Amino acid sequence: MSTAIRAQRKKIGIVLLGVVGGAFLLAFPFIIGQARYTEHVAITICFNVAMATSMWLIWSLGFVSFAHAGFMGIGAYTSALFLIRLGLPMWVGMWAGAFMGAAIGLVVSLPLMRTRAVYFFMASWAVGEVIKRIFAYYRNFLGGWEGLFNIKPPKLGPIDFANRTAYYYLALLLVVFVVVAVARMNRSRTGWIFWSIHESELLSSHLGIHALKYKVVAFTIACFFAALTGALYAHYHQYINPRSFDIWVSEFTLVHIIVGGLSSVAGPILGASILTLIDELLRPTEFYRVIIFGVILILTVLFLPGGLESIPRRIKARFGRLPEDQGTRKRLLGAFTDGLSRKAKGGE
Amino acid sequence: MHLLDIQNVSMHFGGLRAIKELDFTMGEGEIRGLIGPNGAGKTTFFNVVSGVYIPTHGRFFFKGLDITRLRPHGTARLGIVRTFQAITLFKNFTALRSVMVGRHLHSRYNFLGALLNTPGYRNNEQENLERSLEILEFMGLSKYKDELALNLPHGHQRALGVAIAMAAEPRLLMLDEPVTGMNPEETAEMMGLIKKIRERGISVLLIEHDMKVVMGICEKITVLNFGKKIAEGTPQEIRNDPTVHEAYLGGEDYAS
Repeated sequence: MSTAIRAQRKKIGIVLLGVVGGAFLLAFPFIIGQARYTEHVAITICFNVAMATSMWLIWSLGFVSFAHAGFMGIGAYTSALFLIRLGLPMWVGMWAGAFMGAAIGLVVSLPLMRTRAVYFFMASWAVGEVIKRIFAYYRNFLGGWEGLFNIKPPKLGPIDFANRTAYYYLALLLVVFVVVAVARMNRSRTGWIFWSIHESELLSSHLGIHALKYKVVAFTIACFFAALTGALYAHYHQYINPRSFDIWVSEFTLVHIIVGGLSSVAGPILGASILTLIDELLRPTEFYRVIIFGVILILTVLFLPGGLESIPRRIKARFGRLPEDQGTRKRLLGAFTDGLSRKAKGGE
Repeated sequence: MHLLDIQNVSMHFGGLRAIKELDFTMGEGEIRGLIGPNGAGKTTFFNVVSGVYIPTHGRFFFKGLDITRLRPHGTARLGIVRTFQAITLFKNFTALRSVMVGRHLHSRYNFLGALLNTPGYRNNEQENLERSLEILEFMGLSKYKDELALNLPHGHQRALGVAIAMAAEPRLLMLDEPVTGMNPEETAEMMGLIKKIRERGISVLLIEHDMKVVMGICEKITVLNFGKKIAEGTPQEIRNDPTVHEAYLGGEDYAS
């Protein structure tokens, strides 16, 4: 089979998956008979996927930001304050929140993105914690530890988004916007530049790539998406407090990405969807949830490096349905296994 | 006007003086060799010129422009591109993708065009693709274009490093030990390629320990020892220079 036909087939497959998946997502509330709890889970999945995808954008340059939940909080608080103090609906507040998140992300990333590896983890952790503390500190303006109440969902003509089904479509719109934007960036030269910095900042800088500039751009965009998600989160729960944007939220998002897989945008989508579902199923086990999450993370790292997204590749490799051509074979099997087999052969 | 003009440059790391008051000039279209025993400051010299380090003293000029304080992405923009002694590649990129990234400075890239996949962006990427394939062909890597860089054999990895640098269309290409670890055939091939690169109007500055390579392709050689220039001249002159022998063999006593 020629590569052209294979590419054609793949394209058809993707379009088919998009149409069927899209139809399923659109029809979902009616499939489940608008069951309130199930709709709540679906909306939570949307938020978590948007968070995971935007955090993955920062990962594509090789960084893990623990400040991500903090930026979600900035969007949430901004949008909530626009409503409570200024009486402006979410339609205004969500964009204000997103741009506020991006602006603060830009300022913070200028010093933050000059650090590397473990120092970046620590610095971003501190940023996340400071943001949370600021929410808690200003009791009169930001509501202190008690948080902000009465963050009403918006209305659009005859549609009141206090209705969960309506809000589901809003959350779906958000997640599609974030995922499509990140996926397109990743597929274009922008993504190549990001990944080239991930692979070797030294080499890319000697090719004329201003690494700091692209790191700041990526961080700012990711913060924009996180803050936008935060705004929708605030108007959905109608109540926020500093603990909603704790470091735990960043950590769970990171677990979603690792379990899902780090090499493509499918990773955060799969990881966040499946783990949010598992999390909800485990709700009756109360605090064992966290332990089970830890076990899932360890098992993934040990037995499924590459995450859920690598499963189709692994199945193909296991059942020997590999193409004749050596090059394609190697790409399917992945870099890791191939590196080993070459070493075993003593190099060529 | 010299292509590269280095005036009285020193590079100190604390008490260590890696380069001491070095003067160096290089003309357009030259293939210049830079040799010296281990620790002579050759790689430091590359790091200073390409902007990784900013020298402690002195200034240097590229085509008359003061580039002393430029960072790597700035010197690359002016046309100084280098390779590395330890193989440095985008390991999980295919060879073709790596070279495409190397086209960074010459792609009319803008963020929105790439996001929206505009016709302008696509045409430009088509041009980049054609140029990249041509460069891979030139470096003899065509049939490896879809291989991941880390799966290539050692010699081809070195060649890919040069291909990526070539994609940036340098005026001055600095090669840090381009034939290290290559077998004799690969070495001969690389020597031919370096000559062909110069025929394309690119000046080449190269560090190399393999004397056959240096003597074979360089018109002029500069010898460093302990951060100082101890000799400069044609291969013939360098071969017969007593100070060079002394630096490599440790003085008259050892040599005799």
